[in-house]
Amino acid sequence: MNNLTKHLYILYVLLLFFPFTLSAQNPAVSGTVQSEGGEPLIGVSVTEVASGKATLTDVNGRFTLQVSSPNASLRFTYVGYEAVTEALNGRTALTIILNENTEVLDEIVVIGYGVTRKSDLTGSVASIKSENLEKFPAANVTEMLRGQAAGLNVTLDNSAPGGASRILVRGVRSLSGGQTPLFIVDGMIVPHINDLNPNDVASIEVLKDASSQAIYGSRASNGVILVTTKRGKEGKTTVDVSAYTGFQDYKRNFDLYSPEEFAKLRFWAKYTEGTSGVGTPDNINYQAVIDDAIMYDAYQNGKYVNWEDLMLTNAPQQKYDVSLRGGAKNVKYALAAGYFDQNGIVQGSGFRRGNFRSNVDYSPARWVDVGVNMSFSKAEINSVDANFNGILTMPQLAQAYDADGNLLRESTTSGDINPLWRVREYKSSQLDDYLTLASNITFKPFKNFSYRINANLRTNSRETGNYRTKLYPSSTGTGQVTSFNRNSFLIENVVNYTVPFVSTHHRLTATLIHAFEEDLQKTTGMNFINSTTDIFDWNVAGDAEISGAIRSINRTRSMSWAGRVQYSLLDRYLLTASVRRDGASVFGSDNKWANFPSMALAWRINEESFLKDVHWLNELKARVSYGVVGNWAIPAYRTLGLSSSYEYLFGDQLSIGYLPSSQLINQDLKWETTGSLNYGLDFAVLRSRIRGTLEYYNTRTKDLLIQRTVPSITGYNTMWDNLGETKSSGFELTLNGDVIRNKNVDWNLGATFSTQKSEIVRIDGRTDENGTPINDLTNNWFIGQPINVTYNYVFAGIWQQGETAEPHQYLPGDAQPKPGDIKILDYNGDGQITVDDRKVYNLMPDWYATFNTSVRYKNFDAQAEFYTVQGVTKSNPYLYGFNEGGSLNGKKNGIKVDYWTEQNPSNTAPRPQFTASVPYMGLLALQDASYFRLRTATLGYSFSNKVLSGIKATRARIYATATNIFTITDYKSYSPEKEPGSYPEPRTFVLGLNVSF
Amino acid sequence: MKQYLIYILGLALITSSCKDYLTEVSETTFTTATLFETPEGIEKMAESMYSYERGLSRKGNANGFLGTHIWGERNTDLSVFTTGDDANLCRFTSPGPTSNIRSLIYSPFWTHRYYLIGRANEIIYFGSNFGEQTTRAVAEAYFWRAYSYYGLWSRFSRLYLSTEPVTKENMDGITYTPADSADVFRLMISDIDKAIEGLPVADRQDGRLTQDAARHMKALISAWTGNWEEVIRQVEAIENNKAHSLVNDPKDIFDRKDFYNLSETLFSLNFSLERGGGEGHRLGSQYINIMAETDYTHKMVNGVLVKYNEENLGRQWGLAYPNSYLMSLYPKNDKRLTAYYKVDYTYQNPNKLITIPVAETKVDAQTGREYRTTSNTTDAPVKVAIGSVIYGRDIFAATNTKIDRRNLLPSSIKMYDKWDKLIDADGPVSYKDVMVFRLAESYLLAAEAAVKTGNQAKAQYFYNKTWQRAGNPAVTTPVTFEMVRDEHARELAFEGRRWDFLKRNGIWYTQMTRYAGDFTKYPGSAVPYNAGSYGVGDGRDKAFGPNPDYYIDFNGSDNDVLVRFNVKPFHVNWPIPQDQIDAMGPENFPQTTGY
Repeated sequence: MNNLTKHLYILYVLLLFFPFTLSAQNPAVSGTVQSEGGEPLIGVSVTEVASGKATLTDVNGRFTLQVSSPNASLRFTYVGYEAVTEALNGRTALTIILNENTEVLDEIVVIGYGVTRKSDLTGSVASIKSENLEKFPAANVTEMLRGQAAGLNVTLDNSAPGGASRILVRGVRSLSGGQTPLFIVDGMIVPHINDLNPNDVASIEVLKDASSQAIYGSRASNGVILVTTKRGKEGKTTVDVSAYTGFQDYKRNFDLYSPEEFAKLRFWAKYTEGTSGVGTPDNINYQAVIDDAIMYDAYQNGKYVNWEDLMLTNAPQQKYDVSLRGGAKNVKYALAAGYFDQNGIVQGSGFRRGNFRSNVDYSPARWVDVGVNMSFSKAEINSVDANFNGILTMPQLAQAYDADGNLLRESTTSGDINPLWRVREYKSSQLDDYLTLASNITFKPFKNFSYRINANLRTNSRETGNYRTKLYPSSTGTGQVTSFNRNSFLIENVVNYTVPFVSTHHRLTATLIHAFEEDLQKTTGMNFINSTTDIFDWNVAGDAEISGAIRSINRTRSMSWAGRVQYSLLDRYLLTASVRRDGASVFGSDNKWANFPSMALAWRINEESFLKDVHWLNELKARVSYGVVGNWAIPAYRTLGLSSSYEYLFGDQLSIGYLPSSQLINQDLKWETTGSLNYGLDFAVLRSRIRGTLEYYNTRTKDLLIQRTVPSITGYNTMWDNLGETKSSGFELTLNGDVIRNKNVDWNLGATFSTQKSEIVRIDGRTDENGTPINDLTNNWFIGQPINVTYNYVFAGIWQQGETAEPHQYLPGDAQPKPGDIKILDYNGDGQITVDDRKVYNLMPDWYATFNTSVRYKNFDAQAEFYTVQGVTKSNPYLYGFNEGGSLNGKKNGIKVDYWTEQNPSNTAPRPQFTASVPYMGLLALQDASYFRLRTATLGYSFSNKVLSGIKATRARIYATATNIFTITDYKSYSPEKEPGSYPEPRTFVLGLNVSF
Repeated sequence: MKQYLIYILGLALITSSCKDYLTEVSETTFTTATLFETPEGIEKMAESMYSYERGLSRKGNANGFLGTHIWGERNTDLSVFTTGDDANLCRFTSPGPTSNIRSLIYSPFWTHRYYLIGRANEIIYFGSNFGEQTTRAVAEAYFWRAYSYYGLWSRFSRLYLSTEPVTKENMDGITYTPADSADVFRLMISDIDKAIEGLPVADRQDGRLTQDAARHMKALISAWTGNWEEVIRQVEAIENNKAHSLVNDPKDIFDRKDFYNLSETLFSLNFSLERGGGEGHRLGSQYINIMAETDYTHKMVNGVLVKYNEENLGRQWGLAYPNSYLMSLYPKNDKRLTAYYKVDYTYQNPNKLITIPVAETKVDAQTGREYRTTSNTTDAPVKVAIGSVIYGRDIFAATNTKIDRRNLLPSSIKMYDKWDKLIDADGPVSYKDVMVFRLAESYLLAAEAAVKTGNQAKAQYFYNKTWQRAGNPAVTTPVTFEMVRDEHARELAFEGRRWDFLKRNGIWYTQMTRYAGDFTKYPGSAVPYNAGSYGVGDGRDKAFGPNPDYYIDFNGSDNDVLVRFNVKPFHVNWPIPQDQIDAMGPENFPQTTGY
């Protein structure tokens, strides 16, 4: 492997220095290319048909080209316009008018191991172009994908700088197996795309149905995300420069208790328990209530601490990108560099990333093409102490700084640690280097045949360190430093053959693939205590006392054979069929291999003679596909039965022993397979001004990889197993309309709408005495219910004074509820409260949708995008947890609720108690987390040609974009997708500039 | 170019045709196959059992609520516990089937014990192939199995008996029905006999199991079945082994970091800050006042005020304390009062030297009991000095503010770790060894057995072992069961031994109703005091009713006594963890009656 890398490196270096040859002198032709409306068209490709010589039009739509003969033919091509071939017939000047292509749908779409015309597509593939991604300035590509395609559900994972989002393609199907889609960047399987510079992306294709995924067989069941980076094109070198700068802020939709309200809460908490000396509701003795010198002092003097203000700040960010693209006839190149720098809204956090990428395509001879892609990125994430959520739970009756302005360690007399102190005395950073080298050679020894070898290498080396200074509570100078290395390679042999039919009625392409890959992760790390100094953070680990060292290796391998045929009859009946055979190391020796077949049919109805004359119909295509894909997202070595080590000191003698893990070995583990049926309808009407796709899918997943609960009496707790069956289905609709399209005004509307429904069909087949299948309550799996649920009682109000709880009105075994306690709803209506009154709450959305609109008026453009997620329930621990300030103890501050007191017979929140908690408060936390959001809005201005020619640019645009502008939701937090104490999801405001030369 | 192509093709083919390409090999750790198939593997497993058991102290969550539930004498007659979800559970306010707290506490215990049983089954099964090489490991495994079943039985009273290694292949044949109690005790006795046979007598003083620990275990099991002769036989065998002996003075038992090398220790779990010493535990710190008041904690270190003062045991966590019933059991001069507890705290704040008024004697209107308003028994107000012993009532009299009870209750210091405790530590972690069995308990078991069999000579002999050591005059009058019960509390409180003593003797419920928790506060809304009915009809002990000494000293809580009112007889058995019932099938293993 090393040798191969070396060779590719040498080749790559050679390519960099390869002289770009240009052709000799010949007759010159010049001219202008315009649209129907008379607008000059910039960047139209002008090619002499015979020689292949080419140029591009400039900002005025003008071009000049040396042609080989005065009677040559020129071909004019431009994206979105119909191509024109014009014979010169001796002319040296000409004006060409290009008509807009009504079949704009016929763009090129990337599919697995190849590309296809969109009109030839048989499966369900959503293609997202870079323009759509650029609408949303975010550090990571994943977040940009939100709302860009029907069936794609993106949720926040971590909104801290450098954090990422999660993608679900068509909901969840797996119970314990991984849910992450397969990410493929320029052919290379990557674990995530967080290191990718959004600016490098040319397009992203989401393979949604099994027929398009099946070519990736083994682990495509969660969907495939194909990323293609920008490549050079033949023609004049273009330089793109873009930059933006902006800031982030935060917005919360809940109130905390004000200091006065907090003192009141504490009074009621103590009063309810009968604490002496606190006074009466009419005459409160606040000194006894607060019972803390610093807090009482703050109360008396009105010197409150606004923790949120002290901790959160408006955070600046900026991004710069420059790219260079161009090429001659046999070599094309794209080079890009980018830098992103973001401060976090929690002070001390931040993210920086630098990217470099070069994609070079070279054809040394007619029978061979070489491609070398290299990308390098370096990222740094600084994160803050996780306890920063103390800003919500620390009472504002406190003191953060002493009289001299020094930060106090404890901000109350009772010793609550100042959250600012923890943040100051904690440091954490993660440094990542990513290097990808992807090379390919394509041999075309004879017509219609190609053989391509792809060799992809990717390494990620990461160092993470964290350190708590000696001043940090409980720390003696304690830290951790870990080095993580991930090396993956993927080698593919791809043979393509297009059958040369005499008749143009048939087109048949066959593809054969052989691939093998390895992913190797190695981690080495150490924990240390008693550091000698605070100066060097974790880098002084060598001089500190090592308290633990870890070393782990995780190696997975797979090997595949695959074949595919694509057949088209009369350009209107399309068929794609594929089969893939995959072997994966993670399964038992008898179960490593599995086959994944698929077939898809499409019918371009509008090509039929009976519709040929219907001019308003530009496209109508019906598709149906069925395929089987797999999932092997389980950790390595599950079939081996690994042990864990245990240390003990017998006297002074260190013993290192081993015990089997609490996971029972299952050597029969095999693939989880998903069969999926997809119906699709693509249409375009009115000169393609209204375009859309409607899809319905229905999947069934069986042999689910389940980390199943094993009764502990076996000596084990869990076991990976293949069990059960789930199904899911959904509708997806994508609509786009060009309402106005003329010289001065463009107005476009677009919408996506997706529903998803999942259901567990079978778990382990066990039934009770009545033959009813048994649910798995430990994992919250219920037959006939969605996959991701919680199971709990239903809140029915608050017990009021004068009401007496009868034994049938509360759970057997509970103490009799008192006024101010929580009522449980008799959910099944049998007249008594029992364990059967629990309800299944669906934690996944029923549907989500995007609506966007963009307008261009002359040089101004504006766009806005709305996003909504509906029917999702989410628990909010800040409404019941003690540590989250939700338990109404009057000890911690928290989200303000209308709590019950003898004077305030609230029916929404229970009574405060200083030392106890109200049973079943968790029920209050199950909130509807549906939301509606203005996700982004942009206003832009493109400079006119006059200005552009002054600065020798072809395009220049300035814009202002705001994101997460407002959100309507009942879920109380900084973000409807995150709990209040997690890193706040920011709103972002940026001002940017794009210039092309 | 063509050579290049051949090279790449060749490379691709060679790599891909590798036959073992998809075979997985463990690269960093043993697989179970290696562990089971070699004597070294069996020995490695046996050594790991100690470390695994040690982890119990941190279970439930990192705060170790399960550990403090067990060692902290929660739900016995000896402790008052304070706040938090775990306290809610112990007050029996809501043991509802889906309450998180319930699975937090009980499920990890069940799972922990059965994990050890599963490993013991494997060591016994596979270890038998290696003869003498694994004698000790197998004997230890027999001990662990008996010990784990005993732990399960004493808490749940219902269990499944598993004696063979479980694999995926034989798992489907298991019917998860509760075992007959006779079978459970038969297995425990046969296991512990094999442990006694295989374990060494001599105490190597390194914390590894010896025969005496197994004999003690057998005495406990025998006591449960009422086989009192066997109890005496085992305790006398321990005495005759002469591998262990009582420490002369109670203060020397717990005032040390390591128990494994203490002559009285039969079995302890080793902790240390050194490598192999574990992650520490929070037992201990949870039985000591949280102590955040500057008046008690003031200390300047390098000019910085830290709220940690060794004299008052620093800043601890304060979740469960000895109650007034327990403290009342000690005669005034019993050495254990100072050896096992911290009762008095000293004033430490030089910036606020308060003046304590002269004490007045008052009568509490509700209870009619007398109390004194301050500790100043002189006839003039006294200005405190640094180091003066001072009480909550003094602070109240001088400043009109009250101290939270978590800051000023007596503390059990048996697990106090002053050696490893970090200065000014927040969320304290301790590395002191945890006592499991010690000889004092063996002698009390023998005393109990002697009382039951009517052998007063032996009863007095064994009773006096601890009673006299504590500085009390030898008992010559007949020893009663009540005396043993109280001596058990005095000697072993806060070592996690009380629950099974009470349950085994069938006195758990009555002791709980009479004494559990404490009246740290009165009057209040939750439990209206009615002198007429209180303590008469429902078994509560009037003498441990509202305590004016407590509520003059600090702000208590009505909740502290709720347990006495909420407890029901069925609570003597822990509920079977709901997740386990779900996994085994309620039709096979139904929930314990009452829950």
